[in-house]
Amino acid sequence: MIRRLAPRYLGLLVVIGGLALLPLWVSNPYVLSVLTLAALYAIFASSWDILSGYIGQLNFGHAVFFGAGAYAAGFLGPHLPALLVLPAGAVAAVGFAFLVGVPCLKLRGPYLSLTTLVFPLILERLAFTFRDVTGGEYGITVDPPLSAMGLYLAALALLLATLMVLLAVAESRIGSTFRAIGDDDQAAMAAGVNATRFKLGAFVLGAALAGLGGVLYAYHLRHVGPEIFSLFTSFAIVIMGIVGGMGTILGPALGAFFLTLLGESLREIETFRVLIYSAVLILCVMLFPQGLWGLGRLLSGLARKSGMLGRARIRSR
Amino acid sequence: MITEILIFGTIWGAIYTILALGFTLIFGVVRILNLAYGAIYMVASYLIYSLVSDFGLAMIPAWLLAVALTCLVGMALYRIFIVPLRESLGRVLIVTAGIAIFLQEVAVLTYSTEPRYVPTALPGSLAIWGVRVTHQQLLTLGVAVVLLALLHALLTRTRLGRELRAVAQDTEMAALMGIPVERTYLFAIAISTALAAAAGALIAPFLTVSPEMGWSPLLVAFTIVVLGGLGSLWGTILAAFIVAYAEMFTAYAISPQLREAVTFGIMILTLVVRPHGLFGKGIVE
Repeated sequence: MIRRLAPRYLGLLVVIGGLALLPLWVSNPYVLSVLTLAALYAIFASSWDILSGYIGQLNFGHAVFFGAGAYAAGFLGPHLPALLVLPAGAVAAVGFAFLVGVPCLKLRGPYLSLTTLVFPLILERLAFTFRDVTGGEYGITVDPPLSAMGLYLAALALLLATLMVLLAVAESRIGSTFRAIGDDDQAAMAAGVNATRFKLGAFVLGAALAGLGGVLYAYHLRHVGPEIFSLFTSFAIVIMGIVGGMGTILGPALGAFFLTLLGESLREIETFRVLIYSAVLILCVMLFPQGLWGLGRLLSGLARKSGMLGRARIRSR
Repeated sequence: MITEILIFGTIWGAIYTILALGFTLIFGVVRILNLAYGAIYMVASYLIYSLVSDFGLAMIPAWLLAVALTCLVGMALYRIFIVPLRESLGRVLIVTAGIAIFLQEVAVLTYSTEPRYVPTALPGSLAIWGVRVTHQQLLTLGVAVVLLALLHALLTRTRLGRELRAVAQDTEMAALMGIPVERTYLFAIAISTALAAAAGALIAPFLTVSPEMGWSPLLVAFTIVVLGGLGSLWGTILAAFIVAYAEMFTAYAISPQLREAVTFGIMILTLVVRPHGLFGKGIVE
């Protein structure tokens, strides 16, 4: 397993390490802020992938989990030391993972998707209604304990940890069980797999990581409000995951960076951002269902087949 | 307060029945879950608004034209985006979600996010048990009942209705019996979008028209299907009225802001307590 993972771990260290060193050359705070946001979205998209990509249960309500983390930062930030807020965010998200996961366990495919879609909307309504606690539409102001630079590095560190944990799980026996359940849960159960427990496990794992990211997200925005539970917040994660390539962990993270940077580079035509996101999604589903990651693999495969380098490598095996 | 809940619950129940029947029709016949269903309803509402306010059409022709145009849009979307993906439920789900967001953004860019108002076809109001009910709301109730009767006649009395039911029951067997399945699918899409469009057109005059207005009816329709059970006409009607009365009770007795939260609560509670719904097969396999 470690041998199989080594190239990807090495690649991750190089890319994320490179990103961490970037401020040495680029001191523009705007760039830093965009990259922080992209890293946080990458955490959300890759933690979404473990349930959605591996078990194939498309979760349309991932915002519940990072929203729980973000609200935990809002509620507890003033009362707890900063280092305890992070685990509190994860705990809050795991609580919601049980709340969402248990009713959804019996559901499959599109029914699960529509049901998960509803949970953030309920929370959005509750946040609007109980304004004494949540601040209503104004939300809660969050005072970040980190500088912008510190937050950038923290987001990258959490992204690295998230991707390493998720890759390790995905490549282990648990990951193959997830895939088996995704392919045919009846067959998996007949083979003695407790599918219910594994599905709930995937909910909990994805939620915990998203909850950690949610705390940093609240620090980044310096604010948490009901809009975190809006439909588009959840859809944005689904779009990133699918455009990046589901069931690969690294694909959704790539998709998050791609779409966030694309969205920012189109800032002049900000009004078209959502339109472009949805068009990219539709095109991707119609033409490249494997996403960017799959496309990259296909291209590198083609290059390897035709190039001398590839032939040499095959022979050496 | 109780009379308000009863009267407005009945009006909404009729609208919800139309919405939910359109939603189950695609679900039962074509066997796809259409997340763009609410967007179709939104498109119809904006068409009415444009035809009446920008082109100065009278209410009834605007209504008919909007439903017909929306129907064409729905059928075109089906042919272009759904047919190539129909083998994969997951991809259909994603592409219809993409279409829904896309249409919503088109509405934002065309009309801005500012809500629009559609004038009523029948001005004036009357008092029922001391509750002010507009003529438009009564008209909506009347048209909804007529539409339901027409749909029922279509499904039970005509050849097309028999074909639709046959395909819903067993697609392969229906195909073997010589029913043109693909054409039946297209009819189901057309009727379903027409129902969504009709509901949008009926509601537009007493709600504001806004780009994100489609999500709530989509989720309400899904809740009703969950609660009523799949493939049960009477279950759907009963569930539509239960949801409508529960919503009105929440709106008048507790807080209007929690109206949707209660609907979604009903959905989740049904899935936990009675996953097969009140009647029918239910969505849990």
